[in-house]
Amino acid sequence: MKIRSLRFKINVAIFITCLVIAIIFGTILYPFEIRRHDSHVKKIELLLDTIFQQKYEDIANEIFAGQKRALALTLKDMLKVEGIAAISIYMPDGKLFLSTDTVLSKYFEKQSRNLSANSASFVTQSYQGKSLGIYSREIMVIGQKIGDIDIYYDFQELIKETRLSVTIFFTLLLTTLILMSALLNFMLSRFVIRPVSLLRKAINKIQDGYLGETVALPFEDEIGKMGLAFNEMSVKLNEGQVALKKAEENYRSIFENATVGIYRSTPDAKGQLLTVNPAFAQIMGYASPDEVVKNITDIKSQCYVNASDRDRLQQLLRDQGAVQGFEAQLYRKNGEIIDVSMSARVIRNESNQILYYEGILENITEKKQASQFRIEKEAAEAAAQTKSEFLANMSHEIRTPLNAILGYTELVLDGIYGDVPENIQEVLQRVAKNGHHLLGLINDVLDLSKIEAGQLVLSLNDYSMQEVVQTVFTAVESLAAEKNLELKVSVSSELDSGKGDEQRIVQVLLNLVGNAIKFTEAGEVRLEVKDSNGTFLVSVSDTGPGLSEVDKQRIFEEFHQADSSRTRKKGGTGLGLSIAKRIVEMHGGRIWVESDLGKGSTFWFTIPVRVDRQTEQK
Amino acid sequence: MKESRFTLFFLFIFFIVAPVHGEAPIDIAAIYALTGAAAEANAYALRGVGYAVDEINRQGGILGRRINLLVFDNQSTPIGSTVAAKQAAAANVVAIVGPDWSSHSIAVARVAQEVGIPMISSLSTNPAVTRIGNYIFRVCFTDDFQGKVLARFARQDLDATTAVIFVDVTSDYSLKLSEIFQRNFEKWGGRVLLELEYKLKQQQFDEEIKRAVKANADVIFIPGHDESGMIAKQTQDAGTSSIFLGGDGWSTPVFLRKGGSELKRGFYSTHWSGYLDTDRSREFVKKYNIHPKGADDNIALGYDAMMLLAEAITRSNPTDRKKIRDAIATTRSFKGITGTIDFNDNGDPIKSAVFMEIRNGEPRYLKTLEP
Repeated sequence: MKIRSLRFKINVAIFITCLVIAIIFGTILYPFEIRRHDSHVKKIELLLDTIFQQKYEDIANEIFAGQKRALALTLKDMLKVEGIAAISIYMPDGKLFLSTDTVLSKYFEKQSRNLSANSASFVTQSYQGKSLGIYSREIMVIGQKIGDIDIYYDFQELIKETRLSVTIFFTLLLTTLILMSALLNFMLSRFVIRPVSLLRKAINKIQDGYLGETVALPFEDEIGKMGLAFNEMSVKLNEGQVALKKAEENYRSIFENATVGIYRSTPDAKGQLLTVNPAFAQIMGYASPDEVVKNITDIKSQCYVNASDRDRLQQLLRDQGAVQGFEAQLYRKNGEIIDVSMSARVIRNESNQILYYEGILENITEKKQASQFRIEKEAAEAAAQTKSEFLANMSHEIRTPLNAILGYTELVLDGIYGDVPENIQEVLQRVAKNGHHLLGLINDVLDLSKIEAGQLVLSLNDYSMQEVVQTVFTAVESLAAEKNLELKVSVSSELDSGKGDEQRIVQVLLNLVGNAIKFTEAGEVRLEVKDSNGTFLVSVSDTGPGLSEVDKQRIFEEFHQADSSRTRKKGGTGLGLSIAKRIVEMHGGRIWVESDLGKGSTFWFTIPVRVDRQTEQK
Repeated sequence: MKESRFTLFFLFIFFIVAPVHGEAPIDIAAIYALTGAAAEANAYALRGVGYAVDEINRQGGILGRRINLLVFDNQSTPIGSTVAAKQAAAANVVAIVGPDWSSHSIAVARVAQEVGIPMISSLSTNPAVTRIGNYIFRVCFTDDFQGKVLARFARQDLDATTAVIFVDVTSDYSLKLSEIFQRNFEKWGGRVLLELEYKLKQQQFDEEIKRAVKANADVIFIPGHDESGMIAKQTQDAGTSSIFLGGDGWSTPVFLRKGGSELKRGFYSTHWSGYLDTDRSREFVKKYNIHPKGADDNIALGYDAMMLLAEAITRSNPTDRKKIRDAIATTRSFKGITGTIDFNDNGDPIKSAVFMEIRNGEPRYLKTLEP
């Protein structure tokens, strides 16, 4: 449209130029043409006059003698002259005497004729669309008027000639116009419109976002230079855009991904949020920043638990321009109260009016709670430590006199101090027995304390599982035999040499086997060891009473036995399985039980064949 | 032509300047063409007039008064004729002799009739001339008669059934003779194929001649003056087999000079011929040494006109035009060279027509046809 209009404008300019040229030429040529026309008319008049003079004698005589036929011939002869349309002879009274064209003559007969003697008149009149030059003259004979002659000259030739010259003029002009127009249009198209169109397309592309678009213009004229400048500009724009985008992305990323809420709000009394980042929305319990902006229209009343906090904040901002670490309590969307810390500043325009507030918002609720917890936890941990240390020390302090008691009891019973009466012996045996039980209990408590205090450190060395099993079998053989239980051991002969704390693994196995023998009244106890994939799989099965579902879940907890009543019967601290579990886990293994009530139980545990590091306990 | 002009000029000087003895001379005007197309042919009539005046004056004039002949040039045009007539009237002449050609005579006659000057035309045959008034006379027959006899001659003697006519539209003579001939020719069963118009002053006749030849008529009638010689000759040269026929306009040496002398064959009617075997005629030819082959009746007619006028003046008062007119009108059996003249009421004589035949360029007397 614009291109067409440019073309149109230039064509109009050409047309107007040509029109002006035509007018100027016309103005210059017109007087010439008029003069030429006039001179031609004069020539015609002269011609007619000459013809008339030539024929005057004949005509006069023929009129005078009334020789119409001769006159007709004369007129006919005169009519041969090119341009003469008709000749009429009128009587002195104005009536037609003779004419070569009666109709035409009748038409002009009525015309008033006031001719002066011996001088001709030459006037132009139109007749039937033709322009006629009428040469009129009185015919005088011997001082007497015998008639008038009218010679009608058709100006058609003259008009034709004039028309021809005008036609030639305008044809030339038109040709010039067309040629100029064509040439200019061609040049315009080639040198202006096409390059401009290319430029425009490129500009449109840039408008559409294709920065860096360049054009290749064919000529190095002004438009060509414009194209080069455009290219440079486009490239620079692109570079700028890329840099800007990068920067914007950076800042956007910061804005979007910041864990602190970033916001911008209006500085009026109520306050309205203009922009917030996702973190802000999350802190305030909204799904998206848009929701925040849409819903929070009155910060003061909607958000602040204490509306005065906002007034205070505003006051600070007005006074200092910026606030840091301002803490307040806000309502989240769901009404939950959170503690926040705000840093904000005032943004002003050139005339120092406050445009808006800008700032960050941090949810410090958890931080606040966490510091509370830490204090509590530290206190608790300290207490636990003290307890463990106390326990460990206590156990040690208890064991020493207990060992002395047991030792002396043994010595008494062994008759070192002389014979002991039988009834005394029996009492002493009970003392020894309970003393041993107490010692076991103390040891267990001691172990558990150590474990809980984090003081139990595994001593990791190479060991042989066969030897471990042998040690355990030797230890419990007599116990099984006492209760007539069959003790079966199945150890794969090709077990790899293990690495771990042998004493502790023995302790675990002893605990499991001891428990099995302890709780089984009849039947058998079976110990099996396998290894697969670098792991020892150890199982201890019995034909005892089995465990309930509840017991199975709690059996590895401290101070727990499956049946409290039975504990009394069987003795035991209730700490053994708990300790076993801890030891297995410290080896990176697992322990569990499979059991059906009344059908016996199978305790399983796995430990890696090679344990290089102790697994930390929680 | 130069020679004849010179002669005329000489005569004019002679008559005007000649010393006058006794009573005052009688002023008589002779209006002829001294210049223009008719001048050459008119010279013969004027010469005839001169002969007559000369004879009369030598014999002592009329009633003892000499004739003073005033010659006026009519410039071979009707206007010139009018001018000449007015000049003659202004000169207070008692009578006018001439002019020769009808168109001129008509113009002069109008003035003469108006002023009341008796006029005798020598050669004007157009009937209209004398119809202008009672002062107008002529010594030749009219075209009414001539046209009729020519038509009859063409039909009977030449056995022509078709004709082509050349007519000089500037000549009242030619127009009238053509009209009378055509009317009579057609009345007697002939047919005019073409009437070709021309003008005396015309230079080229090619177009008309071409048409005349093409028409291939039995006769080609050319009722013109001396220019007829040229037209006839050129038509003959164009290869026609038609017979050429003419009126008394042919009866002049100028006709022969202009081409008539090269005509192989042609016929024309006239008023008089040097071959005519009458006493007056022989005497006249002899006296003025007129060659019969010259084919000029104009001298005789001019002579007759002047003589007739002189005879009439003798019978009346030389100064009274009315009486002279009356005397002319009452002329009885005037014995002219060209025949006996008696005027009818129109002022026309009743005369016979002489038929001439041209053979190999030479006119010969053929016969005379009585009215």
